[in-house]
Amino acid sequence: MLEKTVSTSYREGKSPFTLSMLRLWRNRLAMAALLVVILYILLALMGELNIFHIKDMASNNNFDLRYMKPFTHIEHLFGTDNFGRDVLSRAIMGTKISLFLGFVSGLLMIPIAIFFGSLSGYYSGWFDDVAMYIMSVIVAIPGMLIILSLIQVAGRSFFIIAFAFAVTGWVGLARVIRGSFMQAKEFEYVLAAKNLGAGDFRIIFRHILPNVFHFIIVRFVLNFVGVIKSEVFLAYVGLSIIGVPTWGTMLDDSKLELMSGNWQNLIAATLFMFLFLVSLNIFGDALRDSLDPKLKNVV
Amino acid sequence: MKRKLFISLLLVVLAGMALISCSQGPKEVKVLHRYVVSKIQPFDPAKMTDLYTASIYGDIGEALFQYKYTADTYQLEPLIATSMPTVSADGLVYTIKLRKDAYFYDPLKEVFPKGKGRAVNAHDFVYSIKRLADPANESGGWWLYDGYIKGLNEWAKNGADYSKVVEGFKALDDYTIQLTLTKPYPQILYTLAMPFTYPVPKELMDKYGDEWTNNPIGTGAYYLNHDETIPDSQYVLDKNPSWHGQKFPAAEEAGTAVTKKLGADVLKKYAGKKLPFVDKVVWYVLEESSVQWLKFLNGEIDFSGIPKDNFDSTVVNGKLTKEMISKGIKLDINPTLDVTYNFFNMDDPILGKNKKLRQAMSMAYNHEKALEIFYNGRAELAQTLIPPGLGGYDPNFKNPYATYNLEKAKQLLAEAGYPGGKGLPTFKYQMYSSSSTHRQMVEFFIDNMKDLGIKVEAVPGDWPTFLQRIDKHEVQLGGIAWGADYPDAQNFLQLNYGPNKAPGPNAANYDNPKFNALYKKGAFMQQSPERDKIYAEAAQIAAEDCPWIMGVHRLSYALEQPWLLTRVFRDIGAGYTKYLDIDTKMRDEKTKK
Repeated sequence: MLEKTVSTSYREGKSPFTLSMLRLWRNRLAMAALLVVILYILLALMGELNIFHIKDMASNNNFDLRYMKPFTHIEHLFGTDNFGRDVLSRAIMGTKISLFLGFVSGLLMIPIAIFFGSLSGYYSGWFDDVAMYIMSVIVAIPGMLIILSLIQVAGRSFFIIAFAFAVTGWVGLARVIRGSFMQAKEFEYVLAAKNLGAGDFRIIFRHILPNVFHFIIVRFVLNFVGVIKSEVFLAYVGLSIIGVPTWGTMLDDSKLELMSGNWQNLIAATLFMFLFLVSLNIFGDALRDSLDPKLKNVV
Repeated sequence: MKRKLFISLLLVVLAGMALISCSQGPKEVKVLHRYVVSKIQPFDPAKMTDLYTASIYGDIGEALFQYKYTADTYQLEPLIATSMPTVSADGLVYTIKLRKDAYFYDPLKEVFPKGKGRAVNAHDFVYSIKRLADPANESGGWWLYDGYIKGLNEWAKNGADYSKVVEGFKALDDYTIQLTLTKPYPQILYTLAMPFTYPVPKELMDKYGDEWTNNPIGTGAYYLNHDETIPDSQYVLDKNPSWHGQKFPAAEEAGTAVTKKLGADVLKKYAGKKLPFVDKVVWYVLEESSVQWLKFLNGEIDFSGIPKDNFDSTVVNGKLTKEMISKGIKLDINPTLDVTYNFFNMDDPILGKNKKLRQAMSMAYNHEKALEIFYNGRAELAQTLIPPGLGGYDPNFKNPYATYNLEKAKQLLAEAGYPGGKGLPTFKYQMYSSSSTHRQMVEFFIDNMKDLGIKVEAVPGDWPTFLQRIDKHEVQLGGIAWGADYPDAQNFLQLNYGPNKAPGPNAANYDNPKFNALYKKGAFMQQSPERDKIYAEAAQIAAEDCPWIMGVHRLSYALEQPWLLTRVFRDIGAGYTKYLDIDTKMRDEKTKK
């Protein structure tokens, strides 16, 4: 039987996103960091669902077991605090709050950043002037000052705290998006879309935004780092939520306890925070590198 | 030639200056470091309801009388008055002569251009008492005189016209005050030693308007150094150059306990020495106990309490640890005339109207554990509002609601109509500080109520906000303490007296006619077993009604640095800094080590 010498089969090309994910997958350290982050999310879920009585052990007082030292009792691996509550459970419950704050503030921050960044970058002109003015004002005031004021005025709840973080955190991302839009609007694919009759809305959200979305993803991940650090600061100055275990309140408690040799709260909160922040940073960096098309051939 | 002459002259001048400076030596400035645990309020004597503001203002202002520093008991002696008052036979008319050399001192030289102002006079005191009575001022000190001074209530009711004379408190001449009471009221003299009665020059208000409370002007041993003061952080006081002066009490005047504390040799050494001893006083505002503690250990504070978390590592079996002793630190333990409590706002439609609900909440509060956790057992559980050591305190009375019994509390809650807490809203607990210890106390309260089935939410706030909200009856639940203003049970009972509702000191707004009647009856009586019985009965009525969840009567555990020389524990009164001395050489040596 006669056959053609040229095979018709061909390898289908991979999308840039798939290539990025492949690059990320090949980064072992990043994958390990992601695993740790997923573990934290699972822990937070376990805490919330009170699996292994984590929630009860974190909040129920047991005055007969006050200040148990770490690693002396299997049921209280990290020991107990001033009220006899299990320190490990409290650290796990603290994970939930940190994740909640990071997630909600990220969700609130991104739409604001996209709105201001994309429109001011794309249209320039008076809208850009106004947006830049607003951003400059927000940047000029120390972020923590705005957060403290908002909490004092609007009250203390985790949602308000997350909102306060979003209010101060969107500016950086909006500036990056604005810059990218200014560049992108001159590219050929945008000119082509315009010539084909695409409207501004379609060009902004269908064509340009997907090309800068990697900034947003990376920023979303790294936002957790900033928010967790700020929550700790807030708790340290006594502005966190009363009655809810967070890493910040644990550190706040520990400043009283250290002099009397009780370092349970300090060690647990620091360890949990350190591992989480390191993992987030590693993963965030790797994600940025893999999503950045300019770095795709960099070994 | 001219150049040589010039250089020679210059050398002579420089040598002369060096000689002068060597012969004088560097002037040693003695600085005492103290602290308050909360932000302070504006310096208005009429609103000086808290210990912290009064502590600082006590060094700037002065009253007619003060407490003897080295006596074991609280005995009054003249300060701006020249002598103790003459009292009429019926005990109604007091005549008080004033010294003529107590000058106001204005460090900014804006009210009194020379700094040293005019001498305080009888009219200043009359004006200050009128300010307490004036309804426009909403004074927290009005309860001191409400109903006791002839014509003062009427004056307040009839428009508080400052040009009109009040029959019961008037100036006979520039330096004589006549005080006429409605009924014999022996405690009146104690009130004349309180910061509420410190005279304020009217010129100060005329100069600054509403801002006058930021510029305190007094006749005391110290004045506020505006340049070095950082509000809410540190208040720096300097020696008043125009102070009238006073001497350290004679050794013979000292009580046995004080002699034991200071030592007969120290008392002899200091007797008759001119006060004040230190040139500068720095009052830090330190809300965090850990900061207070670290500052003390670093020698940056001259005496301090012991934070609860450091107690076990500092005091063992009532004695200081060897480490502390080796540093030369001294421990001074004294009972205090005070009471701590959580209060319900009796104007609240739910809390105020349901006695069983309050009783249930009181029994759900774990008093015994609170004593252990927050006070390391350095206190006694309060059964009523009267502390031990005062007439009216009944050692045999056991308050059934001042002990933890969760089962009984649940039963009472069901009887109150809220079984398991069903049907109750979330109550709001007003905080007064962002310190870790206070947060833990509030968490403890919230947890206790959660066990009962009652939800309580913390409302953040600082000390001034807390007091303002109490004054406006906006605090549903709160925690506070009261330290004696004078050594009489009446000073504690007035905290539950109906007419003293906020902005008076009755933060709970408790108003029981039976209690009020007993209080009034006792208020005009001399201290006697009969009056003690009346007061005990009143205290027990309040204990049954539970406007408060009783706390504790604390013991003072103070640590003194080895270089602090003349400190005596004083629970009542203000302005004792002038008696304190330090050995700066020793401080330098010890802190260098």
